[in-house]
Amino acid sequence: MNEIASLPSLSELLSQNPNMQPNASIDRFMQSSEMGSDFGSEFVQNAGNGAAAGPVIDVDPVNRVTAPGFADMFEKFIKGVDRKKKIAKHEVQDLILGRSDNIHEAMVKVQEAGVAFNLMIQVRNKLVDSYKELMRMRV
Amino acid sequence: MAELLDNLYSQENYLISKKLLDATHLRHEALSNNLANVETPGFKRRDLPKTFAIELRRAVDRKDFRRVKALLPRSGEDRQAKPVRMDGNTVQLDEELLAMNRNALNYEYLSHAVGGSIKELNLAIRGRV
Amino acid sequence: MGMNLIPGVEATGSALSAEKIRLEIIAQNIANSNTTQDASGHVYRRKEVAFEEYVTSPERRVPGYVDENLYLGVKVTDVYDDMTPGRMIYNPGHPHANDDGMVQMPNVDVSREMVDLISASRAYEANLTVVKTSRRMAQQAIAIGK
Repeated sequence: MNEIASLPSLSELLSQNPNMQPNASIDRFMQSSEMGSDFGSEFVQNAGNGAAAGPVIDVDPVNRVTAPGFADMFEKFIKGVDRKKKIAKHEVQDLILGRSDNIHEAMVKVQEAGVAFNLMIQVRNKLVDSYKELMRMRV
Repeated sequence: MAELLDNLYSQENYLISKKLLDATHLRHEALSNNLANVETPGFKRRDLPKTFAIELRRAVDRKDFRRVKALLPRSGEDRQAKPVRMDGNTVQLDEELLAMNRNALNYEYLSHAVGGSIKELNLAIRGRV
Repeated sequence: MGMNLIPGVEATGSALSAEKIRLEIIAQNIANSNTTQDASGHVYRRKEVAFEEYVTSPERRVPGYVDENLYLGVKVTDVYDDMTPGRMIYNPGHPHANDDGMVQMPNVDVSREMVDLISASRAYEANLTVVKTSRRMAQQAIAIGK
């Protein structure tokens, strides 16, 4: 997945700006949905308070400020999406090879992976937008 | 958008529908096999035991969704079925066909229910399906 | 074993094949209900099919809710002669009459064959509707989420 490969560089970018808050309604989605619960509780707990995700280690304006908490969390999120994609892939493979005859299971898993992927893309878009917004601000 | 996401009912029903979809699929295979053997001497019909639905309902009433997920439907010989022929075959063609058709309709409804939850989530996430 | 997208189709398919064979045998019996001498030189003997349930052990992945066995419908294990003797009719002019003027008739009772014909047809038709329903189910599953 090319999108996943490009995302670690985004999280590096994000780690320079710990003050960004992910979208609150996406956070609630993660908490309330059955699919969301597969992604790991850390993302859910920390999603609402991106600013507090990790302490600001270095206040030196020259050096980059890092927030390892948020980057890790997003990394876990990506892994969760990837895992869902792998599960879907295996289910479909079993179906195609005649090892299973559960079409509905395969379809459901494919759709769930799709929803997870959409969520990830939306989060990414919002983060990129927020970052751009931040960059536009004249300090 | 938040109201859609917070709709706990759709989460519960999603889990229940998925489990029932499995059960309905399995039942269809059992009923198809029964109809295939309607003329086989001595054949005993198989079905999903009624205890499955009872247990599922109980787990839902208790809000025990871990149990709902863990429940496994299994098909077994229908011990209450009486032989309808001299050769001991317990399949009644018309009843079996009716059961099969009803079950298929359940499957249709359940796939829509499951698909509906997914569409709802996609709508919530993207603003469009 | 290839892709099996239609649930229960192996069982249903087996029934369609089996009942079709049975119908052919019944048709043959009826056609030969008066055949006093067939190719083998003696009177035609009624044929019957033996049905057995087709059960096997699964090579497929067992997702935890399937039985230890795989129920694949029905198979025809034998087509055999019914050795019950048929009627003897007094017909001295008949080319196959014996010294007493009696002719050995086939042991085919056409009305009984008709009853079997109706059962086999009903079973065949029923399994045809099952295939249609199963296919519709598969199409709905494919459309999940769309």
